[in-house]
Amino acid sequence: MRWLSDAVVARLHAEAQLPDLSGTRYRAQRFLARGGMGAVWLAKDIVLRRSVALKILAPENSSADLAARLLREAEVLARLEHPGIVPVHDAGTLADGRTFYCMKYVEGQTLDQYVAQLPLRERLQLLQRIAEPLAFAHSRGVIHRDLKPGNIMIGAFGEVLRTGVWRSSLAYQGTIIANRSMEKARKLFRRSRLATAVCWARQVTWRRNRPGARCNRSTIAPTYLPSALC
Amino acid sequence: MVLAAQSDDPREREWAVEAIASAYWRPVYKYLRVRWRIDPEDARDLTQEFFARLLERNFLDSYEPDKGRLRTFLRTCADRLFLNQSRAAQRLKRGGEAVHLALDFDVAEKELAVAHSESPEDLFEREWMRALFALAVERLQAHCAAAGKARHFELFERYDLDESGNLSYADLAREFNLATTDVTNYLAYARREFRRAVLEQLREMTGSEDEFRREAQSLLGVNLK
Repeated sequence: MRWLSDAVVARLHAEAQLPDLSGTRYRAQRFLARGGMGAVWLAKDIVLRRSVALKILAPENSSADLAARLLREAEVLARLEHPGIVPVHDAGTLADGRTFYCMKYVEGQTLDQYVAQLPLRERLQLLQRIAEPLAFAHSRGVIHRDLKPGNIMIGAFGEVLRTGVWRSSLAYQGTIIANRSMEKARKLFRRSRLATAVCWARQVTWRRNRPGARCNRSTIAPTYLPSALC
Repeated sequence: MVLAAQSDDPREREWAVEAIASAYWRPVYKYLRVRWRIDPEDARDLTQEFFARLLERNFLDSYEPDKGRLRTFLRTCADRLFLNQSRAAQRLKRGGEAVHLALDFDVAEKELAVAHSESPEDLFEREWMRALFALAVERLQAHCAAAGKARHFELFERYDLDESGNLSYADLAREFNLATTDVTNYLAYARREFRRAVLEQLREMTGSEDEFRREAQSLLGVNLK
């Protein structure tokens, strides 16, 4: 029996979970990535003849709560019409009962891969383009719950697009935050801004200077964090 | 498979036990090593003893499919076997009639050296899944060879079993001198057959039809009526 690494097992698991797209306008092409709630597949929209990305809840995560959370994420994302945020086209339930949403397929590189060959000045310019959609989302009461370089894509035209988990801060994990709990909402915004700062510091200087070092609030030198982000 | 392992016919029982062992020996061996922190030599003996006992017809009689999964039952049996062994008798004595399976413990030991911080139970589950997919790949290879689709398997092996995961369809098309659309079609066939192979293998690694259906739903999202 051949030895399969963890990465290969994860890929085969995803391949074996090929979603049942019968009755939809999509045809699965290949597995792209696995996240906490499910997997992302490259698919073909046979009506518009274009590639799309389908985020589909994993079979083991088929509870009603998680399905509702995924749909809420799609709804929140669909409301954020911004050139720096990946647009959602469609959402629903597949024939096999799994919840999904369809979004633009971004062909490009993740921030991790992209910045490797960039000089410092261009990295700094990139920060502004990364922060814009975040500020836009914050102005509409939405925070990004999983901000990391792997969730920032640089498209074929150099455009910066954010993917990942978005949540309305007023319905955080399904709990409506009342007025008296606005401090919690403020904390969530602060955490989101901190994530941006961590992401930025890591990409601009931190990882380059200290390979392998963990990057969090306490380990980032204060000079890397403008006061507006703290 | 469980029914065959309980059969009166020793040959059928031996065949069934070998099939179960091929899927479960790695999870059992690694689980014993990590859960009970025993040295490789003792874990080898215990693993051999474990599958030798499976050959005894009444070993699986206490397994009740409606009360739990086969792999949970086998893991519990491995725990019991360890606890029942005298610590003084480090080496286990097996009777001359017992089968000695050819299990590559050295390879398993190298795999164990890769550090994981999970619990022994999670390790057992992970190894179970690894065995499921590895055996399904073997099935797929045999199926493709028999169906005259060796090229389909070669592409699957090159792309889906590639450690780096950095290959593109265009890379494969160049390497195999095919059109990219052919690569897409060949891989679609291989993946469809792989999924079928996983289900066949899963059926062999579960204790009942009901367990098989539940696992298929949970692992693959397949709703089998």
